[in-house]
This record gives sequence, C-alpha cells and structure tokens, in this order.
Amino acid sequence: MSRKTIGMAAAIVVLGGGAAVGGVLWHRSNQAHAAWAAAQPAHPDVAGWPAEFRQRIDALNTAVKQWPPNPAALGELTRLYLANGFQAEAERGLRGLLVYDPANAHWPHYLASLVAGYGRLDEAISLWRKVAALDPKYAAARLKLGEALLKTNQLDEAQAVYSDALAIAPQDPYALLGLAQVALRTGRWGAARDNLETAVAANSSFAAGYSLLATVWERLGDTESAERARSKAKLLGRFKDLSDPWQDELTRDCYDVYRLQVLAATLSATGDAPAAITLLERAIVVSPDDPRTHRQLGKIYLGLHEHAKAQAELERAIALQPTEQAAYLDLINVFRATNDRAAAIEWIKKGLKEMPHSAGIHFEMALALLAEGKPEEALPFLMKARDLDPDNVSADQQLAQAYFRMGREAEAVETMRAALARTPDNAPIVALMVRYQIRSGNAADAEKYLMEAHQAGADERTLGELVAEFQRRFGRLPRG
Amino acid sequence: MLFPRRACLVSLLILAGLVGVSGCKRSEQPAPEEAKTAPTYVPPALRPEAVGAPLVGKPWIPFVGPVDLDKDGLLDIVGCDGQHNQVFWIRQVSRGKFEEQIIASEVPGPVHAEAVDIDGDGDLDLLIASMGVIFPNNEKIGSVIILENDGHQTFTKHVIAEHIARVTDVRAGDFNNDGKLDLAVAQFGYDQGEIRWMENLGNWQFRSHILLSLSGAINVCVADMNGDKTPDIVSVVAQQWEEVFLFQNDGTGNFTSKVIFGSTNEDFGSSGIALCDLNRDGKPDVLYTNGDGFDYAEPGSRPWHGVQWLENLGGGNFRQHRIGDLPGAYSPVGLDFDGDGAMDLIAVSGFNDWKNPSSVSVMLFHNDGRMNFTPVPLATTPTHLMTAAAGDFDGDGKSILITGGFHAYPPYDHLSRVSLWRRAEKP
Repeated sequence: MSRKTIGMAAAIVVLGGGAAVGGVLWHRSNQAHAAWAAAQPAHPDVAGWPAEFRQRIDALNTAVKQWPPNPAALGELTRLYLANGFQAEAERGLRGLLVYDPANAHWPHYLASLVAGYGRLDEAISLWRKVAALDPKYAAARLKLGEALLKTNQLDEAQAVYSDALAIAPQDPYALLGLAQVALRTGRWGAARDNLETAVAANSSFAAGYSLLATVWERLGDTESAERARSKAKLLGRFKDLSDPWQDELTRDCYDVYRLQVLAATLSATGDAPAAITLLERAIVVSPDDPRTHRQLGKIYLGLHEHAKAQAELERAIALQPTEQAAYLDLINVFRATNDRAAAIEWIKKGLKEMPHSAGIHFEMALALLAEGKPEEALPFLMKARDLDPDNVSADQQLAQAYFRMGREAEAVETMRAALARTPDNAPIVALMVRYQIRSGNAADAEKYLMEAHQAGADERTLGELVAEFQRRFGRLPRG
Repeated sequence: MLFPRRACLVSLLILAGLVGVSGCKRSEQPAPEEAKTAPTYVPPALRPEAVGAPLVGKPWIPFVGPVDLDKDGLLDIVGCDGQHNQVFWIRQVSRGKFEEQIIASEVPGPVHAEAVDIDGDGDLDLLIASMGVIFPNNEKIGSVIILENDGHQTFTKHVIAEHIARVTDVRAGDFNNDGKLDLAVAQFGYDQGEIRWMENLGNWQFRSHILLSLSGAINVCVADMNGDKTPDIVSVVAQQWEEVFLFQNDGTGNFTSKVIFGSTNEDFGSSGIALCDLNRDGKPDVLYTNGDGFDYAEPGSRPWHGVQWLENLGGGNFRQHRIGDLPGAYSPVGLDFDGDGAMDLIAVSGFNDWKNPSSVSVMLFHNDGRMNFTPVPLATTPTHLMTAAAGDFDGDGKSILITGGFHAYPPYDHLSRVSLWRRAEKP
C-alpha cells in the first residue's frame, strides 16, 4: 500500500469519524430542538384580550421560540396561560417545565392541580409526591395529595399523608378533616367526630369542620350537638378550600376579569374580604369600566361598613350601567345604613326613571315612604311591586300591614287571602293572618292559621311569639 | 443549555460533505406533526319546535323526560316547572301533535320526575324529587313525592318523605330483592345533604337507609354496575366534594360505597350523570357533565367545564375519559345521533357566555366509532338549557332531542320552555 493510499485511507477514516461524531451531534441537536419545540405551547387566539396581555404573550412566545431553551420565559408564559384559563397551553408548558426546570416544585404542583381538576388523579398523585420531595414543607401540596389519595380509595396512604401533614403542622384543620373523612369511609364515626372536634377547637371559623361534624353527630344520634354544629356551619358560610399561596400568586398575572370576579366572590363568601378587594382592584386595573366589578366591590365595602367607598363604587357601577337593578338596591342599602333618606329617595327616583318595571325599586320606594309615615303614598308602589313580581312575599306582607295601619282592615284581609291563594306556604303572611285573627278574637281561626304557620315553616321564634299572643288574648294555649 | 447551536452547524457542514460518499439520506429536521384531521361530520340542521304550554315569562324547566305515560304507543314528555311548582305532562295526542296538562301542582321546587310502576298495578306512576326551593337553601324543605296513577292519568299525591334536605333525584330499584320497588334518593341540601335508599314496606310506607351524608348529591342512577345481577346506585356529589360514588349492592340492600371519580377542584361544577353503554360492551358506563356556573359572582362558565365518561371496566372499576369541553355543560344524553352504529353524546349548556352569539347551547360529541369524540355545535339558541333527553317521538326508530329552558339569569333574548328538536327540512 502506497503512502498516498495510506494517507487517503487515513483521511477517509478521519473524515468518516468526524462525520459520525457530527452525525451524532446533529441528531442530538435535532432531538434537543424538537424537545424544546414540543415544550412550547401553541399560540392561542388572544384577540379581544387586553393589550398588555397580548403583548406579554407575543413577547414570551418569541422568547421561547429562540435557541437555546429559555425556561424562565417558558415559565412566565405558562403562568400567564394558567392564570387566564388557557388550560391546554398551560398543560403543555408545564410538561416542558418539568424537563427544563426540574428542581422547581411549583411546576409539578401546578400541573398536578390542573390534571386533578379534570379528575386525572393517578397522574396528579405522582406529581404531588414529586412536590413533596422537592419542597416537603409546602403544606397545600401535601394536603392535596391526601385528598387525591382519598378520592382514589387509597385510604391507608391518605391516612399516612394526612398524619405526615399533622406532624409538620399539628392541628391543621384540613389534615384533621382528611383524617375524619378517612374514618368516615371506614365507618369509624367516633374517630371522625374526634378529629373534627379537634379541628374546630383549633380553628373556630372552620366551616367545613362544623358542616361535617353536624352530619357525624346526627349519625351518632346526638341531634342537639348536630343542630349546634349545623347552626355554626351556617353562620360561617361556605366551604373554604385550603390556602394555596402558589395558586394565589397566579392571580397577579390574571387578565380575565370574569375569573377575577369569580375568585373574589368565592373569597368574599368565605370571609376573606381583603383578598377579594385585592382581586377586584386588579380587575379594575385590567378593565376599569366593567360595572360588575364596581358593583361587587361596592357590595363588599357595604358588608365591611365602609359606606363612603361602597357609595363611590356603586355610583360608578350605576353610571356605567344605569339599568342594573342590583346596584341601585345595594346603594339604597348604603343610604339606609347611613340614615340618609334623602339620598336613598333620590336614587330610587333615578332607578325608577331608568327601570320603570323594576319590582325591587318600586318596593324600595314603598319602604321609604312607609318609613316617612306615608302609607297612603306607599300603596301604589307596593301594588306595582307585587304585580311586577308575584313571588315577592314581602310586598304582600307590607301591603297588608299598610292597610292595617290605615285602618282599612277588609283590604288588608283581602290582600292576605289573595297572597295565600297564590302562595299557600307564605309563612310571613300566615303569621300576619294569625295575629289578625287573635286581635279579632277569632280563636278557632287563629288556631287554624297557627297550624298553617307551623306547616309553612315559620321559624321557632315567630311561632313562640304567636303562641304567647294567643295565650294573652284567650287565656289558654292554642289547641293542636 | 442542552446542546450548543454552533456544534450543530459544524456537524451539519461535515455531514453535507459526505452525503455523496456515504450515500446516506439526509435526515429531515422534525417538522411539527401535521394535524390529522378526520373527515368532519356535518350534522343535519336542527330546528327547535316549542311543544306544550306557550312561552310566558322566563321559564324554569329543570327536567324533561320522554315517556309513554298513557301507553298509547305515542311517546309523551313529562317535565317539571320549577317556577310554578308543577309537574306537567305533554301528551302526544296524535303523531306530532302535543297537548300539555298539569298533573300535579303545589309541588315545591320539583326537579326530577321518573316514570315507573311503583305499585305494580300496570300503569306508570311518577317519582318526584321536590327541592322545596331550587336556589341555595340549607333548610330541610325537600320531599319525596309519588304521584300514583289511577290508570287514567289522574294522579294522587303521596308524600313519602318531607322536611328533609332538598331532594334532587328519585329513582326506583328492587334493592332488597323482595319483589317491591324501592327508591334511591339524592338530596343536595346545601351544607347538609344525603343519599339514601328507601325500603318499600308496601301501602306507601317506606323506611329510610342512609348511604352517604354529604351535601351536593345531584343524581342517583340505578343499574347493575358490577355484573352481579343486583341493582347498584351511582351518584354524583357536587359542592366541595366533586365525586362520583358507586354504591354496590349485595342483593339484600346492603351497600358498599366507593368513589369512582373525584376532582380536587372544588369549583369543578359537577352538573349531572346518566347511564349509557357508550362503548357497547354490555356494561353501563357513566356519562358525566361538569358545567355548574351558578355561584356567587355573575353566573358563567369555567375553562374546565365539559363532558366525560367513566368507562365501566367491570367488577366495580371505572376509567375516566374526557370527551370534550363545553362551557356550562349539563344533562348528558347518549344516543346514536347519525345512525352509524356508534354511540354519540349530546349535552346542553346552562351557563355559556350568552352575550357571545356563537356560544353553543346544544353540542353533539360525535363518535368516530373508535371512541374518539369530535365536538359538533348543533345550536346556539335558545340559550340557558339545563335539561335534555332523547326519544323516538316519531315512531321511526330515530331519536329526537328534547330540552328545557331554565332562564334564571340574563340575557333573556333567546327564551324557550320545552323544545323538541326536529331535523330541518332540506331547502
């Protein structure tokens, strides 16, 4: 073999080797590019969304299309999608982030929450286990893991996870609630009661604990304790899901006003007015002229007795949507709370001008006139309110009472009879009828209507008052 | 950085020089996979035809169901009017001609009517779920009512249970194998609810057995779910639980409960279940919608609202499959819509974005025969539909959809009461 041939062979070997290495590198490069491309969510149609949102989406989409991979941009883009209800895009981004930012516990938690929300709990469980490994102290993930295990009938595992959660945060009400649910599933009513009692003792505003406790007490035959727990649950209001600060963070990236309103409504219903206000303030930044946001905010301020703020928000809501009855009614309640009758009447008149067929505003006008001692003037408004909304029990009741005040007894009785013909279970009217029969000395009729009041579901206090009135008038207890 | 761009370019150059020598074919950069689009199913246009009483005000119809109540061979409709507290019968007096009559009034908040011969006298009685008040209320104002048919469609009201948490569904099954039909009862309540079965003692007397004490029960469906020839109960529980329960019966009225689906999303919005052998394997599957949007803010949809089915794998085991998204989804109905032998699914929407005229109120999920479902909008108006069912109203073997409108919130510009959806004539 000549030197030339050897040289050529060597060159071929070198070139071949280089080519092979290059081929491998090229193939890997292709794979890497393909993997990164697969992690990128499709660009959804965001026409109609706020300009800032669209700009952020466009910029981040451009950033994630660049090479090398930019997990930070993908993370921000994914959060934006997640925060604004683009579920498919968010899921794709989160799956990418599991690969490109694997040490960040947020991503498996978000993905677990997303897929669990659709009921894909087996997948969620493995993701939440990953979160627990990455960030053992993040309570929300651990508690959600317990819940997912419970819902997939893995009771022993759920019990273990809830017990672990209690080891980190003793007396965590949600962990205790979870343990109680595990106990319920296995028929251990006593254990369930013990866990729930511990939960509500540690957190007296834990509505979910009282609600389930009422059920448990009832099953254990202690109706008195059940009723106490039920009343407490009712007082505390709606079930409040466990605190999940990572999910809450997302609202800072939310541009969906309706979504913010829904979240705020839930928070407000569960007693967290400050957080609700924060969300609604963000909604106003996103869309300053949405009357629903101002009305919702006004109503929350009204509940907080911050009347000046409530007035400002509700007036703004009305200015933006002059035909929304609910905003007028809330604003009238503000003036009622501040004893500003003149302002109330002014707004009632404005409301009637805008909505001449509003039963609610006619009724408010009648109430205002009755409060001023003008029953005669109130009558047409009450009649109109009743005609516009035949289900408005209060209009009938006020109308009958107004007739009584004016000494027009026959018309009062006729109003009550007509109302009862329409709605026989109208407890306030039946109670009014009982009072009328007592005053008129008709013991038999009073007893008859008293029975009806009971059947119509009049509350215990009213029934007690009626019985006492009967006894005073007739010197005996009613029969039956 | 997983792989530097420069190395990629160098290797490309080397490889480019060798292509002719090696004879290797240059591999292609993986292109995004082209969407494989199946031929789109084009459904026939449907036309809603109002049947029964005329439209007055803003109807609240929470339930319509097909039944030949008078057994004259013509399918009728029974329904509930939640606003007027009535149960009505829209009788098909002759083919295609319908007349409505009220068969029970002063039924507070009726939301479901199930036709069954509960007393075994050969005619169809009606099991009525009475909520008391349809909108949120935690008082014990629900009742279970049976309307006993005298054989001539005159009904006598029997209140079987009252002053209980609000009742949302009542169905029948002989749970203890004594030859008498018992009742399965869902009670939504609000904070307090229940699922119970009521043992038929005869003479309109029933004894309650509590199966579950959680709020939010919407439906109870009765069928042999695990293949042991005894009727089981499937129930969906909404509120903060968002779970589907299977109560497996041992044949004597002893039930073992099991969760067969759960979501940890407390706002999932479970809105109803129905049973149907969707994959035609002989076992009843569970069709399941989540679309409840009636909450504290303005009513509306959520991004995760939609339709799924829980595939019955046998032995009390189920696998969930998402069928598709539908904002405000309610009332899943399984039917072979296009007559291709594969079961399709229709759902209606109670809470879509009605200000947007393209928001769908009736959606077909068309089955390609391999359990792949494609959403096909069938209608955008009327809006606010919360109940749907299907039946062979024309006697030609083809199912016709019926729906009820529930107009409890605005906008009020596309109202309906009870509609029967016929295929529009071709122009």
